[in-house]
Amino acid sequence: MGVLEWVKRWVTTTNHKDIGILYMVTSIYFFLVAGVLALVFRTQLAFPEEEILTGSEFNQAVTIHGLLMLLWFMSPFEIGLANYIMPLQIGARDLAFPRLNALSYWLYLASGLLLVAGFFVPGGAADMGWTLYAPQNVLLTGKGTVLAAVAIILLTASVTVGTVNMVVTIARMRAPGMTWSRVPMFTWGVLFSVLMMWLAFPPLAVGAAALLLDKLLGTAFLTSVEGGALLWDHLFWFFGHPEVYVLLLPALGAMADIVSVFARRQLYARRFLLIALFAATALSYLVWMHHMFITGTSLNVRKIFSVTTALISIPFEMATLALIMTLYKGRIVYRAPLLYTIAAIFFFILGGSTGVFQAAIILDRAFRGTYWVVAHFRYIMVGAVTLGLLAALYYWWPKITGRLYNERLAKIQLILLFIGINLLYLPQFLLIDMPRRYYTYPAEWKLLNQVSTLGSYIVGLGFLLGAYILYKSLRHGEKAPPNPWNAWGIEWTTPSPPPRHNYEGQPVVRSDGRIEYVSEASLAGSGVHIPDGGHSYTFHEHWSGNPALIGLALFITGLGIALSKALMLAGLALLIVAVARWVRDDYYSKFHEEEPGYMETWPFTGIDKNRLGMWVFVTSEMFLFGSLISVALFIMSRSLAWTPGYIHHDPYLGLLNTIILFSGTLFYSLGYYTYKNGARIKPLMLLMGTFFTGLLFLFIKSIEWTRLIAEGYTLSSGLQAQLYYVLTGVHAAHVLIGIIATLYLIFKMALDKNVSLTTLIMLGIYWGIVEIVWTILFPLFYLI
Amino acid sequence: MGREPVLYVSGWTALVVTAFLEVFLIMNGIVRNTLAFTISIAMIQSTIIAYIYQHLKYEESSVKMLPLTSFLMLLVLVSAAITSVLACTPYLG
Repeated sequence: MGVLEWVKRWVTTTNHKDIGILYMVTSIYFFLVAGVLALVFRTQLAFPEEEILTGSEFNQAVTIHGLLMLLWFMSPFEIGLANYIMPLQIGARDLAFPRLNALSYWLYLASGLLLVAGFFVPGGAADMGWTLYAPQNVLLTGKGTVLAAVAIILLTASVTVGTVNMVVTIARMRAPGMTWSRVPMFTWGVLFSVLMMWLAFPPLAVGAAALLLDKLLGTAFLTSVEGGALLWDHLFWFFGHPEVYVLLLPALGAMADIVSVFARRQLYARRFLLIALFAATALSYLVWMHHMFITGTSLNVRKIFSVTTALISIPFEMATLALIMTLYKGRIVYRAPLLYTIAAIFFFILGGSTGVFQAAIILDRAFRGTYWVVAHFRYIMVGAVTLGLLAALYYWWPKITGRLYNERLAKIQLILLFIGINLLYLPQFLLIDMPRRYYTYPAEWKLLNQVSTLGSYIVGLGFLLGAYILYKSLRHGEKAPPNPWNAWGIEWTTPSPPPRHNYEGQPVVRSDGRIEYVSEASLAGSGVHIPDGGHSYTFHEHWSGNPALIGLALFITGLGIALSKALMLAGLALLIVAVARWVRDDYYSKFHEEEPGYMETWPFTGIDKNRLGMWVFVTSEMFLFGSLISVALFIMSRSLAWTPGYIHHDPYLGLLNTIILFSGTLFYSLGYYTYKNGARIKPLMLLMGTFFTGLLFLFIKSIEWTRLIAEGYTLSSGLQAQLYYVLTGVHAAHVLIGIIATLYLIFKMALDKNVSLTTLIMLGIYWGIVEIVWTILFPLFYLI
Repeated sequence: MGREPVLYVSGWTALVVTAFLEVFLIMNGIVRNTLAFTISIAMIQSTIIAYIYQHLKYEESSVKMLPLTSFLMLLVLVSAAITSVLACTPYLG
């Protein structure tokens, strides 16, 4: 294969295993960048009064290190692993939406490159710590923060698309017999993780958008003295705390699978463990304000969050016990993946127990902003999550590459990492009186800092050795059999590495747990189409360069937002081309694929994958709007200058627009009904009604905006005006997308192309969200 | 006319009537707590839209759980964010 062909193959692939590898390789690249930054600032901290880095450079290094490690390394590495392994574990041939999966990856890559590009723009990268606290994020920094905000918004788009894909795949594409009670723990971990991402990321994106608007248009969402900083805290930590568990649960799931395989026994109390993880998922949304104990929040609210924070440790204690009890009396085989898992459990106990203190308001006040918190968090993130992920990598490496690796070296690597991590972070517990993010310090903290820096070098050495082990395995490793660990699970029944279509035939899990392969024809009954001259499976390989093109367009747009209007416009033009190409593929149903009727789908049996995907997406979108509205309510509740809406806006014009919007949906619904009953002209006319009411809505809105601006009610008229323009602007953009989608379907129907009822229902779901949001925006801005 | 179109038209009528009512009551100063009132109206309208026009009425309970979960979590975010600073809230106080 020539270089060009090789590049084309990786740029246009949509296969879940390829995308998984792309995710993992890219996340390792970002890990390297973040790791080098860590070594640089740890070198600075090895000596008191050191000036290798200036204060600003130090701040940039720690900020980008933190953001990269959490958002562009750990989570994407897990997504990569999930991409590769999860479909294999549940007996699916790919993810539910392969092209969206590719889009998810390219958005992720574009976002990460934008963040790192911050180092090369005027003013440098974001430099206020990975929490990007307000108002420093607006007031103190340069273009790098703009890039960071754009990167976060793009990453949220990537995560949202990825979440839809993972949820639908796990819900509707499990092999026959793969009931929920048999779903492997790693897949469960992935499911819990994406369920947290589903609602945690939208508030972060809203925060990043507020930051962007403050930086670029001079709004004051995050700088306002009426609670701008608190607003950022709420939005950031509503995402930030679940994010810890987003990272932890897939690693924990993989560790559970590994422990069970190498202890040669079933996972202890598996059902209780699942209940515990479910509880942790739900509770993760209810603990964010413990990060705000030292802000001016009400004491009663702090008490509630103190209790929920203490509560959330219970599920994880149960999880730890389940892992230990599985090992107890097991016939343990001490292979590298298990040893890494045991080390990760050890670090999890240390990191977890030092975190419980933060639940107590009084202790939190003492620890906040010190190296104690740094150490606690790193024990979880580096000790538990990263070692857990290394365990997972060493466990599935033979499956992914088809090669074995040198286990002796892997064990030496573990020893290095174990010593290094403890040397690196234990002294930081003792540095409890040293504030974090100080770029230099007096001599009294020298010894502990030096030990810590020594530990960081050893950790770095450990990872270098890891890179060598994997490189050597790829080049000279012994060929791996399908099941090198004598493990059970569908992924171990297929060759290493698996073929493009994953399995010959369809895996089926029998009631006694045996895995068998049967032909799809035998499952589907007569009439099943078996392509490729009688294979026992159906598999369509899809290739598309459009996801990469969209990623490139958004990367250029993002750079343009920070640097140059011309570049931004070029990016947007390219985006329009890319989206048009995407839609053209849809028009010709290039990626359309029927769902096999024999997969496990409970509890989503009565809904197809597209509609389910739309619901997952739309509810996330609803949360995005909800977060925007919560920003408005928060500001309104704090504002001394909030005046009744009818002073600025004409409520009767707003009412007219409301009725117009409602009427559009009525037209759509009647169109759907007539189309369902076989009519062809009536639905077209009715959908035209939806199209024109949408246009009319935007026309009236534009009249309102023009009049308001002419009267001097602009973005500089205060927070109330800024909220009005931003929220109604975002809403109008959604109306415009609805109009375009409606027009597209009208054309498709007019040209006699197949438009399924599901597609029409999906349009209705979309318009429904646009309306629901308006039912809140209208009174909020016109009446209150 | 079948049952579905009747449902769609009835839903639309309910939405329009509640919208008129909302504007009329507020603009005539009849409602005292406008925020609570408008949020209640918005919830009623949202339920009608989701149930009828987004076809949630015809979906199984597991699908209904998705928007419900999102809504509940939103309630947590909004109420916690607002009440966390209620002590110093001039407008809602």
